[in-house]
Amino acid sequence: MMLRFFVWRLASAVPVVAIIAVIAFGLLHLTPGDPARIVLGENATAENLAAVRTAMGLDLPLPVQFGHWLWGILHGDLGVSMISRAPVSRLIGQRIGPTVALALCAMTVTIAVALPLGVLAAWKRGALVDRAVLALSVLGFSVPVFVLGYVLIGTFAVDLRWFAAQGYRSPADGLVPFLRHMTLPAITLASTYVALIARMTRASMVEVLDEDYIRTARAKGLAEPRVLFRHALRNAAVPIITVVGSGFAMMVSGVVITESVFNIPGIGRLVVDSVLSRDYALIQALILLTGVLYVVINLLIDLAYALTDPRIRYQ
Amino acid sequence: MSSPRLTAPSWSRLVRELGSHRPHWLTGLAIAVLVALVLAALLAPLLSAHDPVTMVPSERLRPPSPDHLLGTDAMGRDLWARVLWGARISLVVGAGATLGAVVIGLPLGLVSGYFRRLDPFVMRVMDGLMAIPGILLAVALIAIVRPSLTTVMIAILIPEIPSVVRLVRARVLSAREEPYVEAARLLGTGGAKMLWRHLLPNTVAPLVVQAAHVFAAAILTESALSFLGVGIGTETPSWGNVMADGRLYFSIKPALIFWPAAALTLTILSINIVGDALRDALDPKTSKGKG
Repeated sequence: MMLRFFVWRLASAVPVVAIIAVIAFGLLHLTPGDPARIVLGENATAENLAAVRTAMGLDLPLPVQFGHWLWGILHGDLGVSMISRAPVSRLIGQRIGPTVALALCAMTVTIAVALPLGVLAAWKRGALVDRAVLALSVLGFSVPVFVLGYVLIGTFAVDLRWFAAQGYRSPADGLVPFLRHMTLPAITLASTYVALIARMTRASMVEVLDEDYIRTARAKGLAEPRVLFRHALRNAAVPIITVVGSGFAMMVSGVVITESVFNIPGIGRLVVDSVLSRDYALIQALILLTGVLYVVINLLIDLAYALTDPRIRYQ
Repeated sequence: MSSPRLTAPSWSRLVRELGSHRPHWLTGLAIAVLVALVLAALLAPLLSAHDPVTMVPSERLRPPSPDHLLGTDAMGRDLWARVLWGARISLVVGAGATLGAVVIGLPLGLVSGYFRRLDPFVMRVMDGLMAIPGILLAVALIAIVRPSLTTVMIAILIPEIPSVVRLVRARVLSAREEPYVEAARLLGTGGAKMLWRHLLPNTVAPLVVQAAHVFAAAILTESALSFLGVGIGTETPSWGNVMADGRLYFSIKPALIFWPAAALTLTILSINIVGDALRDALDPKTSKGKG
């Protein structure tokens, strides 16, 4: 049964990945405009255009080009940057560190803030705390990431001088410099996520707290925190984790903006740089990678559910 | 589960439901902010004495004065005028992208929910679109086509389509089970009429709520693109590029970022508050308890 679920779930991810590949490929090849001309600029000669077209394989039929591109990717070849001529995989490898650090820190902030807030709001349903959490989550959705970034920079970096306003230090340079540079970006990136997950936690907890087994847990004299976090939160976890997975795309959008505000040399900046320099090979690869990563994350979440909760396997 | 309904919801019932709700004072305030914003955008040329794009080198980084209400930026441009004109871009792009997402997403969702054989194809494409982060997709589209009002609008609306399609499809799927749809089917009502008379009205209420969220998201994305330097060209003031222009002078004159940021935040906040109020008023789950 388990195996059948795994295979079925894996198979259903294949067409989605295929569509992502078509979108990433089609963006450049199906939209009006000659890629060779975009690479060379308006003043290119016909000779140069023809040479670049041949070099890029643009004179081949579209399905053949798609096949070549896909074949390369399946063999770990993401292509070569049109601007710097460096392999795309190396360019991405150079930038992945800061982004992973930022994402992990933001996730830590989110879990540390959103889960307790959501649980508290559900526990004190209708009370002032509940409304405050709701107001906070509306604010978190409404304050743009880059606006919050500048508010934090203005307050904690320029005025109070607690944190650095710009740049990145690797954790290898020591924990203090790393946190001095990472705290504000992590809070900035986490803001939307905190709003989303606090809301979801509250909604899911409200339902679970009405269940009979919660009354039983209380009746047998368990301490309230234990009831909330051990009994209720565990059972409320499935929709919360689902939102974490589907929020991944939102997180990547946030990374692009946060890295730009705080001048962090990560993948987000690579996205903007590749667009500004019209480096299509790089853009294609980045779209494909983030899309596939999204599918993989959600696949893993589904499989984790199936492992822990047999009811899902039988649906 | 919901109690069986024997008739399709209609426009008049929708309006009645909306009318029977006394809005919260915060919702009233949010509506007032949005009305003021629309007026400011329409009347921008009358409300500011200065042109938003003319550079006056002798007037660089002036503090607020009766002549320049919010002072001037590093190019000597009037900040008040730029924030006012920025509202135009935000509203036009937001409204255009929302309209586009609904016009494309609604029929796709109806078709996907009603013609079950087409459903897998439409939904896999939507899954693929959803997997790609909105900003990344928009940024990539703009890199390929020349940035203009129309192309920015299209780039922003494409990532919003899946949410509309999924919502409409889900409503159609649940409406198909309603007794009145069953009855209409038994009476021989066919495809087009079934969609138009019985299934479409079911989607209107949640779609209005979703449109409010798409509107907020579109305005947010437009400002983010302009801020990143890949939106509408810098010759057109938008809240995002006004902020981007202010970045270098942030430590000397934070007002250059503060005012466009405040305008943007207030706008998004107001739309979200109105959207939540609409949801509370139109959502059958919450309104049933009162009916």
